[in-house]
Amino acid sequence: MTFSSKLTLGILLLLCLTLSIGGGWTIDQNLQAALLSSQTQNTAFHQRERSALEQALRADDARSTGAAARSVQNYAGELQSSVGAQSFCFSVMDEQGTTLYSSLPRAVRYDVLRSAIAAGSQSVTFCYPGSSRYMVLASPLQGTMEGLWLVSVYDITALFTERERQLRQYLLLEVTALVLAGTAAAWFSHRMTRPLRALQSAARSMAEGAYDRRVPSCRQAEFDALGQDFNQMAAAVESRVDALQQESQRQTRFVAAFTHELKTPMTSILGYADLLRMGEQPPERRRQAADYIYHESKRLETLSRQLLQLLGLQQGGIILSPVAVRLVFADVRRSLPQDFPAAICTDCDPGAVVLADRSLLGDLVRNLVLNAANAGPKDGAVHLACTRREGGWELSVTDTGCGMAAEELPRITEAFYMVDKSRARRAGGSGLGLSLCAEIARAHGTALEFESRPGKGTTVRLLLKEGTE
Amino acid sequence: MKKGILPTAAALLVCAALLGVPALWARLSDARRLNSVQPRPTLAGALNEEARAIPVLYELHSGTSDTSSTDREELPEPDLADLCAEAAEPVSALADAGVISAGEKARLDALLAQAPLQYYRQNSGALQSLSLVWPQQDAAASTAAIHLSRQTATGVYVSFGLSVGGDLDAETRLRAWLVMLGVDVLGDWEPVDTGSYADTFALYSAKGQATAYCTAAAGWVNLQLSKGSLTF
Repeated sequence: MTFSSKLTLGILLLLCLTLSIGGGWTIDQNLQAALLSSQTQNTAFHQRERSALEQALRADDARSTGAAARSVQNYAGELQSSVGAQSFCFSVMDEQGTTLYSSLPRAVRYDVLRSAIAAGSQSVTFCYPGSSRYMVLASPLQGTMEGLWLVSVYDITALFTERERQLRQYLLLEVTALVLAGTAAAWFSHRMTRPLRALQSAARSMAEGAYDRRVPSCRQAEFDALGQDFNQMAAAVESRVDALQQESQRQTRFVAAFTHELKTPMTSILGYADLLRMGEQPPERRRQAADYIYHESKRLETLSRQLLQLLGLQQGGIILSPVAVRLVFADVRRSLPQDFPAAICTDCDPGAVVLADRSLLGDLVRNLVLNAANAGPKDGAVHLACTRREGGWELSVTDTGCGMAAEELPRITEAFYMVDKSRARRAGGSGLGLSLCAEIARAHGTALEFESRPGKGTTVRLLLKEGTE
Repeated sequence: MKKGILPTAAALLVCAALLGVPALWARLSDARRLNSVQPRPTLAGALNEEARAIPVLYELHSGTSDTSSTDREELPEPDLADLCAEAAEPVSALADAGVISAGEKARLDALLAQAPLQYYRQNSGALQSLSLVWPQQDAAASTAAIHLSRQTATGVYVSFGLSVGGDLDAETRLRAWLVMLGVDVLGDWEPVDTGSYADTFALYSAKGQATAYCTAAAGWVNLQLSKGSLTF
């Protein structure tokens, strides 16, 4: 059962209950008021009739049942001739229950009259013979003989007929009100819950993969706020899913590249090892095979070391401390082999001090210098510089080598991505160098900026926070 | 969809049932009314049923005791001893009830022992009145008299005029007389402002629709029970 149906039925039930109880009470109160008014009026009639009868009895000095019966008959006869038989309706009984006179309808039973007498002269009783309704009043007749009672019966059927008419009218009114209210409630609740249905539809669409689905805004503040929250959640989910997809793709590429990088040296190692196993080889051939095996094993060892370093940087933080950049450049210069193919030109402010891990920063600069040297600089030099920038120092490594196309730049920090694979492998590259550099820069709270033009060279910049030595 | 049909149908059935509540209410109310006895409304200014049950009050209202319209009848043959005996009976009753003191009764008995100078009888149908007059005892005293009125139907005396006084105050006499008449049971006798009549004390009963008053001046006591509300 939907919420709007529940709301509609709830409103209908409540309205129906209120109208029914209210109507029942009101109509009953109306009848009660009419009965009270009728009681007052009929009591006055009864008293008048009583006094007149008492006067008649006194006038006739009716002190026996027979005399009283005759006197009442005479009185009724006079009354009938003056106002008509339909205008009065009473009975006179003695204390033994003998009816001296009666002009009551046949439907009014004897026991009703006895009950009225038993109820006393200060009471009103009712009787409902068939579809008629009567009010019965009984009073003792005084002044002559004891034990005479006047019982007057008044027709109040009209009051009940009016009550029945009110009931029918009210039923019609109630049904009309319920139909109108039900229609209005159904329309209102359907309209009110429209944002909820939109939300439900959007949630289902998202469950089916449509993460770009959003709900429109609506006029109801609560639902509008809910919709906005839902849209924010959907945007966050979409963003997270996109990120996860990209991460998944990156992981897939990483695994593929890693597998490939493992397979290439392993193939060479297996080939040359198999050659050595096949039998005695010429010394030159044997030395060449051993060299291949050694170099490829060295590459694998470098690969695993860099991979471990990369994972270590991704998992844990580093401790930064003030480091003089000239010392880092000096470390790099010392770490390079003596047969390094390019000259190192440094342009460093002697007072440049940055917040860094000296060892990691040295690895970063060394990797960039090795890459710059492998690019084949036309001037045969790699330029290291450190210049002041707002908020810190900018380190740059520039070469005048082959450079890179603009579309290559976004991917060059991906693991195992190589712009020129054969050239990189010849130089002993593993494809993890720039990934490692990017990760070291990230650990320092900064990022590498690449500026390169094919055939012109490449500049890599890194902005570091200033430290105090 | 099917899940919602049953509750919806149930709710609509409840609504339909509720539509019958006013009619059901009316039927139950009728049944309750049929089996109940309701109090009769009180008619403003009408004699209360409790008061109607007291003969003297009923007669006061239903009888035609209008003395102004009656013929004054002077008895042609005086039977003075009988008249005095007739008057002595209510006088004794008044004394027994404490309306008059023993001394006052003795003075009245002394009067009644003498033959009256004048006497009057009135019969208005509802009321019978008797007046006895004696000559003044000395030059300073006023004429002595006894006036009595009783209801023909009940025989109860509703008016007294006695040439005595001074022993009791008007309120004491009146309250004692109401007890004697048996009308004190109504319980709603309220004092009436008698204005400049300082010797008069009056009480009114709404239930009995009657006023009773007593005037106790020097040498004269008057007691009267009248229907309706009197203005002094």
